[in-house]
Amino acid sequence: MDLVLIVFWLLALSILTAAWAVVSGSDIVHSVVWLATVFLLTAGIFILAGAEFLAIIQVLVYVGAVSVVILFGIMLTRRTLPGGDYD
Amino acid sequence: MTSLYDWSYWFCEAWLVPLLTPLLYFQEHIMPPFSNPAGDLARWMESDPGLNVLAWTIVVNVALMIGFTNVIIVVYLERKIAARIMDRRGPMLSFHSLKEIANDLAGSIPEYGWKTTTYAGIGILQNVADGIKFFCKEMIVPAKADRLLYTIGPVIFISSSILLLVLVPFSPRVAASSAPLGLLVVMAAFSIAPIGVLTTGWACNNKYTLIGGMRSAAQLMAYEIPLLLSMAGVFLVAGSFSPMDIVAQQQEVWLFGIPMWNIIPQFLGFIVFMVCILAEVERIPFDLPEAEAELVEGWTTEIGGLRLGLTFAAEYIRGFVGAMIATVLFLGGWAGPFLPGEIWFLIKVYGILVFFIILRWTVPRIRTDQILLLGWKRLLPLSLVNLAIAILYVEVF
Repeated sequence: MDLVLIVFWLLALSILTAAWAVVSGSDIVHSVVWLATVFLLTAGIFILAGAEFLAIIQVLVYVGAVSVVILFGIMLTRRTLPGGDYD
Repeated sequence: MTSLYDWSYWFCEAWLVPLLTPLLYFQEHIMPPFSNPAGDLARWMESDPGLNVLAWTIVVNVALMIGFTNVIIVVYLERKIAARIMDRRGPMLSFHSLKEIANDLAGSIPEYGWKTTTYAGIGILQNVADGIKFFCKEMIVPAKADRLLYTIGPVIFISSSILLLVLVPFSPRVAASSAPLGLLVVMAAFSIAPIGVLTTGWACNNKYTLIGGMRSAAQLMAYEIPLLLSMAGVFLVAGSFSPMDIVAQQQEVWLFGIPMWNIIPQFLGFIVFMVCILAEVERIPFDLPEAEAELVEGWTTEIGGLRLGLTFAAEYIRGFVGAMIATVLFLGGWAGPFLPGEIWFLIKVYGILVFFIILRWTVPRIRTDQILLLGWKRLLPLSLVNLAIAILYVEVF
């Protein structure tokens, strides 16, 4: 089997797993970190397809901007402390 | 031997593989009915892909060693210059003081007479002492912390910072990577780190770390756009993202016997870039996420053990790489008369680093609202003006 094809399937399965983790997780910050993982692995798919510029822009724009999503996720939602009570 | 890669390929082909493979072939049939995979490994090492992988491993390791050595020197410089600014001597621990420490530990009374103790050292051993201290620290996970994010947050920060070391070349000869999109890759690697800062700050379940992480995100929104716009001017003039092309372009135009490095036509861009890269590497006056006077230790408050040491090292790596990018973009990179290119590059980089350090110990920290105001109302228009100047420069020359 072709090495590129193996790497593609590994990346694709990881992306699907991470995307499932984004929507199934109960903690919003965990979801956003999984979202960043999805974006990074998508950049890997772009590199595999020979589109290096697109991959770098993907990391620069999306992965960089995910921290803003974390910011909104923390600021605009109620947070359950690990002890169980709300702050 | 034109480049580091060629040298290490030659080293693998002529020395490493001929010395290693007899050992592996000897192991292959050491137990007669079975054959050992060592033989396959040896055959792979002798093939072209195997030599390639070995050569790249050596190149990347050399780049990392050069980078970490420079980080040690930067930490040392930071302490000595800070001490001189405060009118003291700074760390003096060196091989000369080991004798006194040994006397002290043995219980003999040291002679503290007038000018009998010689402090001839320059204090380079203080870095070793620091390293030992970080190895001995206990690694604590806070009881109510989010274990997963607490663990991977510093890993994101440290790994994305160490990745930077192999991406910037010292000269066409000493370079681990010469990607045509070189500096864009560097900026992409730079922009991953705030995720690590923010997730660590949130996961520690501590108000100071959370405030530090929030400030990091606010700072990111303020400096990211002017930084890339000020770099865009240089990219436009050079017509390339590659450090080699950018440095070569700066040597093309000469005016009155001086090369027109990008700092001269694009001085505005240089100012904007220096302010933004200071914010990017989180040094004073922009070290809002780690304001040790306001937040205990910022987002690193709850980190312990060697992870804390590596986090500090990663911050210095970011400072060093920031100075390297400034040199490549605006100060002509490794170009210079008489001396070899690597020496010129290090001279320029250390000039910028000494400027960073003096700035750190002489100016106060700015507030979060001030950095947003600075980024959006001052730096963004200035970088757009610089972009217009760069377009004009391209049209004229």
